[in-house]
Amino acid sequence: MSKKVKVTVRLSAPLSERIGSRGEIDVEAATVRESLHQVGDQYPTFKKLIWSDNDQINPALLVFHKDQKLNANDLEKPVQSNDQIDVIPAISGG
Amino acid sequence: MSNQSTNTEFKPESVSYRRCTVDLTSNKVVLSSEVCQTMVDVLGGFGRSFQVLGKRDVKDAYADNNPLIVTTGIMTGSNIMTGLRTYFSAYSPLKGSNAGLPSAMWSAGSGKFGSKLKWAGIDEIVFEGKSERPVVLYIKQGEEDEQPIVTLIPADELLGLHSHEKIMTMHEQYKGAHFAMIGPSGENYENCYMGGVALSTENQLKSGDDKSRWAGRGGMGSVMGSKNLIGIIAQSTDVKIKPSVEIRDINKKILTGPGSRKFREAKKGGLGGTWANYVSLEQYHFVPENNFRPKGEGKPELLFREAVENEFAVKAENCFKCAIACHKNIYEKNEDGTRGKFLAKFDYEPLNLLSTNLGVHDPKQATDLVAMCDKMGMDSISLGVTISYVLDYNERHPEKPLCNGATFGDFEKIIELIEQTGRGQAADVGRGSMRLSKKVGEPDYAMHVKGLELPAYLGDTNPGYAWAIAGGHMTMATYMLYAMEKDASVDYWAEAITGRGLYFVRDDLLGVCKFAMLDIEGALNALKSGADIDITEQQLMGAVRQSFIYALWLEQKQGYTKEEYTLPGEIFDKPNPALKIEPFITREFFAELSEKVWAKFDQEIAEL
Repeated sequence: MSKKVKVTVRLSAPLSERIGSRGEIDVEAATVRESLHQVGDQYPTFKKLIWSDNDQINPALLVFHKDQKLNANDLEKPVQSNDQIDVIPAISGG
Repeated sequence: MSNQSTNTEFKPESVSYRRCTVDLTSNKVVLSSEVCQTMVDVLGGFGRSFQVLGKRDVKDAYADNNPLIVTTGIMTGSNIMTGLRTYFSAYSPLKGSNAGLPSAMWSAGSGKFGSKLKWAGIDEIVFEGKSERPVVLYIKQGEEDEQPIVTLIPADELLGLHSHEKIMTMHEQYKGAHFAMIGPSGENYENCYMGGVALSTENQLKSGDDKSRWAGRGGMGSVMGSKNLIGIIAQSTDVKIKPSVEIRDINKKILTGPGSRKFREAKKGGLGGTWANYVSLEQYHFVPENNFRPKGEGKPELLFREAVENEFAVKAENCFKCAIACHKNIYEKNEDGTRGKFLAKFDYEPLNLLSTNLGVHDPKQATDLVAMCDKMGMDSISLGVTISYVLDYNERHPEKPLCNGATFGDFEKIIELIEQTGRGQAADVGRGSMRLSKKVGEPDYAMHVKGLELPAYLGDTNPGYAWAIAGGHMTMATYMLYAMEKDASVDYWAEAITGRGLYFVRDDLLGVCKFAMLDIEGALNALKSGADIDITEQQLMGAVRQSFIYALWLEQKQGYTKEEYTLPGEIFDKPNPALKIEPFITREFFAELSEKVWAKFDQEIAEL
């Protein structure tokens, strides 16, 4: 069992405004998945948005950890203290 | 701008800005200092220009009394990253009501022109009347505390040149200046209502490549052309002030935060630009093909970035002092893998609407089509969508085709049609899909709302298009919601349209690019640190909402009825089975949604 550490989950503006949060949310977690679940526990709309069926990430959202876009099977990656996890919509722009 | 605010509560009257009024008919130029009356005045952008338009009674976009207003935002020319925006506003020749009246419109672009204009000491230009001969407005920063020097100079020599050629010609003569220029389409305004305005970039002037940024939407370049105004030169010394610690923090957040990831390169933790929408949308078969009718056969994959990079070199380049580097420029690839000749810039909208949505899937052909559109100086969205209408019509009516008979995938005829449109030789295309579809009596597959063509997101997924005030995706942030949330309830959409969707126009007041993706805290900090404007979230968002509601009122002033706030008919009546979506936008759904949306907006319009 990995140790829980402080992680910052950063949401792009459309997401943070959607769920009514600040852009950066600090949580205590051991993995990327747990970090996202922690945010979902605080913000029910995030929980509804981020998870699709089978506890997988909604394909219309993208998750980055250490500047790497994560795939579905990367969510169990352990996190280190003060890591940042970014969540952004997959579709945006002009 | 001048800000005399003290430490007490912020008052708009403490801020003044310099307006330059240019009467093109009499060649008279007046510089004036204008005291702000409202928060909207302070912020600038379209909020301020629409206040001017609202006081005019304009029945024809090319009439003398339609002013062309060039505004900056409060943060244009500041040290805030992406604070580069210039706004062109007027009654549009393209967007108009069924009553035959033109609608107020604005279009925004980056590049360095806006900063140069502001550094020259001008926040806003109002062009009145028409010049007898082709002219360029030349603005030169005054000596020390002197006012800028503003003159009209003859521009006959520029006629017929591409917008890029015009910029480079002027660059030879006006060192240290930046430029806003129209292309041939703006000169041929009578037959081309979709002329844009090219804004020069540092990279363009240094490389000599056609790398303008564009204020494309709504035919603002055509309005310029109708006034015989070929361009604007802003010559000033760059303001180089070391950014404060606070500004450095804001810029760092813009550059390394989650908001700009989409636009950054993969090696910088990004997705590689708006182009990445191809991948994201194709998983649902939402990439427009053949006039917004995806087939689900995988063709869009031929223009995925990784596919294009097999054959061409892609370089991420940037606007002045913006390290996001959202420009994804396509170059020929030499045998040794190095970059060769510059070909075009790929953004999602121009790329899709000038290739996949026209049935063209070859990367080289796509670069040629995008480059031709830029040379002619047209809005890629309106051009691409009107051509896709022509191709669709021709497929349905092979016995009596429109224009040159082009069909989906017919590259040679499509590029010919683009050039003809820019040269004023294809008025059916140049006057947009609304007019053409009415003329031939088949409006249901003309992909426009209120006369303005849809961007490259399917109407099947976005009922919010109907209430966008100046372009479907940049003035109503509902285009991505269905993919993200899959909510098809009327209440959800009513809330999205009357709530968060409309606040997307915030940055069209501030002078920053939407790609900075500043959250509200970031925007307030940027105002405070970048412009010394210390206001609350309520004040900022109140001004944004007021500006949006005012724009809706302006639409109604120009004759729009509630029935015109709708979507193309085939979206309701001919759901596309290839889409990975349960069709939800029925006529019944939309009627109920309209009722709820207007219940909210009508009340706010009445309270203006």
